[in-house]
Amino acid sequence: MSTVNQSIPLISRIKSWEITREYISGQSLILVGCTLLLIYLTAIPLGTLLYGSILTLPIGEPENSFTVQNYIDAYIDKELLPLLGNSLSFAIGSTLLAFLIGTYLAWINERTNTPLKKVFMVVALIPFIIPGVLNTIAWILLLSPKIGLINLGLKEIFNLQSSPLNIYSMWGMIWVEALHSYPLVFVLMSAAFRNMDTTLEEAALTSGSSTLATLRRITLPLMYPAALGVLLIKFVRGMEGFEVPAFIGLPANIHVFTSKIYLATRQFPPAHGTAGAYAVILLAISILGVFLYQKFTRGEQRYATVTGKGYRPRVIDLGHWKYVTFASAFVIFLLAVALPMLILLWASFIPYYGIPSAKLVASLTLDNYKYVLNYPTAVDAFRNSFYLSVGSATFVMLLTSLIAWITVKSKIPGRAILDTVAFIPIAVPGIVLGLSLLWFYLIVPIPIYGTIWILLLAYVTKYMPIGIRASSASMIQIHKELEEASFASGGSWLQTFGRVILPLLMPGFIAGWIYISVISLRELSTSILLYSHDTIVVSILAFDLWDTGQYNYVAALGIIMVIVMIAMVYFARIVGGRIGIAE
Amino acid sequence: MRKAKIVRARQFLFLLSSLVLCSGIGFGASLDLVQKAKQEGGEVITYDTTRIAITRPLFDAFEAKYPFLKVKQYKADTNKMMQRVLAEYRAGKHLVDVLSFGNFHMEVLIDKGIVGQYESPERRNYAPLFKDKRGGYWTAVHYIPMTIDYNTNLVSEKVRPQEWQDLVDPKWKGQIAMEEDNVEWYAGMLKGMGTETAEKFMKALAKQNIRLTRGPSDGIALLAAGEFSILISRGQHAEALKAKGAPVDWVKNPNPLVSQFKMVSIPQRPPHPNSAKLFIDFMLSDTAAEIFAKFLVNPAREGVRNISSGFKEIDIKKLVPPPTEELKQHYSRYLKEFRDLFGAL
Repeated sequence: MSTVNQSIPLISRIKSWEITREYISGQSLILVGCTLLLIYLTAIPLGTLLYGSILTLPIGEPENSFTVQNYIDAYIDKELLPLLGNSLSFAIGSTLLAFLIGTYLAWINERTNTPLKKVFMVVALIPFIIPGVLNTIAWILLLSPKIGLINLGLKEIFNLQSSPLNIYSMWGMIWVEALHSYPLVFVLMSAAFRNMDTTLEEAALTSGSSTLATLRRITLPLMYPAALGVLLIKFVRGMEGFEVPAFIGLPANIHVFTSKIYLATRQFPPAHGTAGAYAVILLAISILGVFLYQKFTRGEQRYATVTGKGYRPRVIDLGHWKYVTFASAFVIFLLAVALPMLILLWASFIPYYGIPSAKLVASLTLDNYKYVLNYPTAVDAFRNSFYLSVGSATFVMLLTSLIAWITVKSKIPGRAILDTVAFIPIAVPGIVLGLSLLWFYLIVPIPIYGTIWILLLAYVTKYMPIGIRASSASMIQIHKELEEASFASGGSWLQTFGRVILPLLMPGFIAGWIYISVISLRELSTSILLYSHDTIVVSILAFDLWDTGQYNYVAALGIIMVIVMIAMVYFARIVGGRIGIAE
Repeated sequence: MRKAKIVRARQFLFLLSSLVLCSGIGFGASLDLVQKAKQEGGEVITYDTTRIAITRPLFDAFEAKYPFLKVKQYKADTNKMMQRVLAEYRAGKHLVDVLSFGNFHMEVLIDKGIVGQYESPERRNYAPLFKDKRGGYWTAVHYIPMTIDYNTNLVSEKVRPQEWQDLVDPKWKGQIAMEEDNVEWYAGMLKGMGTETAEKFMKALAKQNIRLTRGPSDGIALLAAGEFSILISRGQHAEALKAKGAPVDWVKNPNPLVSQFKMVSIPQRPPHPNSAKLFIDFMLSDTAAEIFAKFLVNPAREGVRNISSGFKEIDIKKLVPPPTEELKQHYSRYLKEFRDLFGAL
């Protein structure tokens, strides 16, 4: 009797443990963990931004008090509207141009039989490894009315009195920004093209539709999620853009909205509150952008091109047109990559920058490379940057893949908010992100201040927005039937995610990975507040070299970074090809 | 006679023993510092905006002298370094042994109680201008004169400006560039020229359509490339590029010669106080000054031998440090005046 009495609670205990285990195991544990981590990562900079924006003095200052004055200063300002107008023109112009170039190159690379397209794939990525300052100055050296080599060449050839091109204009700003940032469009759109279902296109073609009409009516509409994601990132980054406007806009008297944030953080004591109040505009744009993105991509099954029917993307035989696409891609590379790269190469082999002359040709030297490679801490900087680049790219893509599964595939209530939460850090200025982590980890007893881990957290937070757009766009393309088949065959959620979803997600995963791993090499505004003597990174090295006022050293570093990037891209493609279907 | 000899011998012995004792104390004090530093953990943490290419040879020389110490530098621009120091201080984290800032920011840190005092014995080799008079809050290691740099291909020796007033000549309209938010220079000019004259000059200068550059680095790179003819900036960058054969030079003694000092200080609560003192002694030493001179940075110490020809011409009597008291009180006003006159990025 007593045995029976004792066994009942035991069975009940076992059952309740099994239920509990079911709830806390696998799927839910990972998903809850990811959600909490995501909220944690976003809450620190967002909280600092909003809290700082209603304080009279920077956070941590004694005698601080609450105020709305920062918002009054920021928004009741007659200068604000024209500045926002300039920012909008700059953001829309550069976004559209970058989108056109990036999408066209992605299409050529993924869907056509254009000759040498594998080489194009690597060449197309070069601009975004080059630090912004270096790239912008290279364009000044090409297109300045006074010393620009293109202008000097055109004047000579056509016997012109004045320079035909002027970089110091809104068009100049848009041109330089678009040519520096189209690689983001290229990698993300390439991933989307790679996940295309050819049966839909083939159905159109067999029904008598032309290649162009198929592209317009079938292929491109299926790309909406990826295209909207890319446009959203590019637009917000264009609104935030400051480097190009500072160097090129200013001499043309074109000011942008972000200069307000920059000037507020530069004054003494820095007006972080005002900077935060301005950044709220970027926050609003980002949240609205994600909302619109979700609205347009609702009913995601319409875009699910990766189904169980075998979807290997078809390469279109362009016939003789392949030479036209080859020539057009070649012209784009000549303009976007070769010209600024030639300036960098030239500058990297001469002792000081000057217009090519016999005197300078006679002084060609390897000294700049020797100087950079023997620079104190160069080895440490490259090593740390490599760890951070690979670490942050991998972590961001894994985290955002899981979050994208929740937001796209699951029916968990409130899932749409996670998409917004992961995208919010894009609106936080780099210096605010840096300061928020600096303050937080100085105060909270988590011992990562001064270590490489605080930099990793910063990079993960900063690049989550890119990761979520890449993962989400790819996730939408994967049809529900594939995971259902896995579940029906007895696969657990973890097995399904790891062995079905993740490999199918690989094009988007690799695209996001490549972009984040490369762009993190030149992250400066946050790193400079958080690194320590033991965790110096390449961007700090570039900043230190730039401090010498010698463009030539930084040019040599830029060339070395391009070589490192090419090696990393090859590595990513090989690894991606082994795991999934990147190739 | 014999008695007198004995007295003299006693006096001599007394003098000799006093000298030995005194020198012994001096030597002992230095040894004491070294001994104490040895027990502090073997590192010195310095926050310094100076380029790593210059600081590393300095640290190597220091570490060769004191092999039990390693120097570790956090380098950033002044603005960010200031944020970091203030954040650490407010959080009660004392992580830095030696601070290196310019005049204005150092004074702000002194006011906030972050900077301590240290009367290094090396300070006797520095002119009064280069050391704090309140008991060793700071000593300048080098100084950065703000002057007129020019492109020698575009500005001939005959017409080159000699003084600030020459810049308002109509022939330079649209040809001059300057660093943005150059508030310390602006305040220094008001003090050095006298407010009324300086205000007239600044208004006339603003009419020249001054192009702003983000910092000294892009300014000097574009000056050397010929994008503009004249740059109001630091002489040392021009000196370095000139040494490499670039077509740039600089005006040595425009009056006033507003000059930022780069100072070293010990914080109130350094984690390795004795190691910090040894390091400051070294940074003010003849060895360090020679290294600064080798890298074309203008050392503040007297009697440096290998100083570059350009720096030799500088008349330190003409130097005007940025007026820190005025800046502390009216920084926002100066900044607004500067931005109203010359614009902002």
